[in-house]
Amino acid sequence: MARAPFLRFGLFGLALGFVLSEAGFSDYAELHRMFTFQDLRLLLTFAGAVAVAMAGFSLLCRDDVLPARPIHRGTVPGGVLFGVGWALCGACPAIALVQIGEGRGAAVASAIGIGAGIWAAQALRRRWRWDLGSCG
Amino acid sequence: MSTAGYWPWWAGAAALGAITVGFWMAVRRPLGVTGVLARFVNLREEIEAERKDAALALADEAALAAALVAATRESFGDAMSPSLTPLPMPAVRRSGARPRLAAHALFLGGLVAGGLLSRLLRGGLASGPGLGDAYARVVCGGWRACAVLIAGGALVGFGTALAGGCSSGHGLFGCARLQPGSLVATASFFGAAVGVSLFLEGGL
Repeated sequence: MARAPFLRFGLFGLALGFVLSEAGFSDYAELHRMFTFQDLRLLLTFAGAVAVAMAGFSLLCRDDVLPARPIHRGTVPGGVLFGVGWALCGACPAIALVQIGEGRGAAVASAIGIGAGIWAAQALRRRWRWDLGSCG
Repeated sequence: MSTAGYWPWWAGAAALGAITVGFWMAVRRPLGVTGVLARFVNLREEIEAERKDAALALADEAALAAALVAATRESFGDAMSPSLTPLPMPAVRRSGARPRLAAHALFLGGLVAGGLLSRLLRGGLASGPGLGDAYARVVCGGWRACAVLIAGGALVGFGTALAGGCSSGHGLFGCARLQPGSLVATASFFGAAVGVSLFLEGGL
């Protein structure tokens, strides 16, 4: 199958980074207000995005074969560790990069940690041949 | 109602939802930042795989189909030869080949540039290198914050690699299609983040 045009990846990265920043996901104060339910704006943004995407996929991509995401034994422990880390460093993998772009130098530390964490998970997976059913 | 000049929820929801669907329609790849980052963590092997991919791509598809037809004739004889023309590829749209590393590098660079663009349009970069007063109040400040950020980041990286996705791959792309793994992963990371945040705030 043909490879998708190269520049589209850059444009979608730019759009995603811009929207995440404009919505306030990269601002720890806003994020903390979401996680402690002091402000529901970001929560509604996320839930609304899922609803919009759901409508979009069912209207525009009805005949597409989209990749499945089954539950595997890494799903819950991985999710919990990610959540703890997100609350501690205020960044998910995309947000760390957005924060760096915004000039928040401290996010470089988060990004280094994220890279190290991914590396460690890959090393463990190789060591014990975990099949996590995940894909690129 | 937006706080600190951020977009109201419906604008962010519409834009993020459109990006999630648009990304799939434009490049036929699942949206997910963790998987992309993992390729760069694994850079040496990825470059090797890319070189092999390039060699395979040189093989002509038509020549491959003709060779398969010839091999089939050889095994089964000419009895059904009239119908032995390669069928066209089915029209079903499924996930495409992995893009070049450079395309994914551009995607990650786009995320950084998107943050930069947003700040420039709002009158300048973030003030100070830290994550702001709220972070210093809730977690910690100064150089200690650096250690917490690295440790927190390591949990994020390890957890997302273990769960096979993050807030984009599971949270947006997976949840929007009601994929069980994504719903469970999203509930797990959201629940854990809420628990830790309430604990830090002193509410637990």
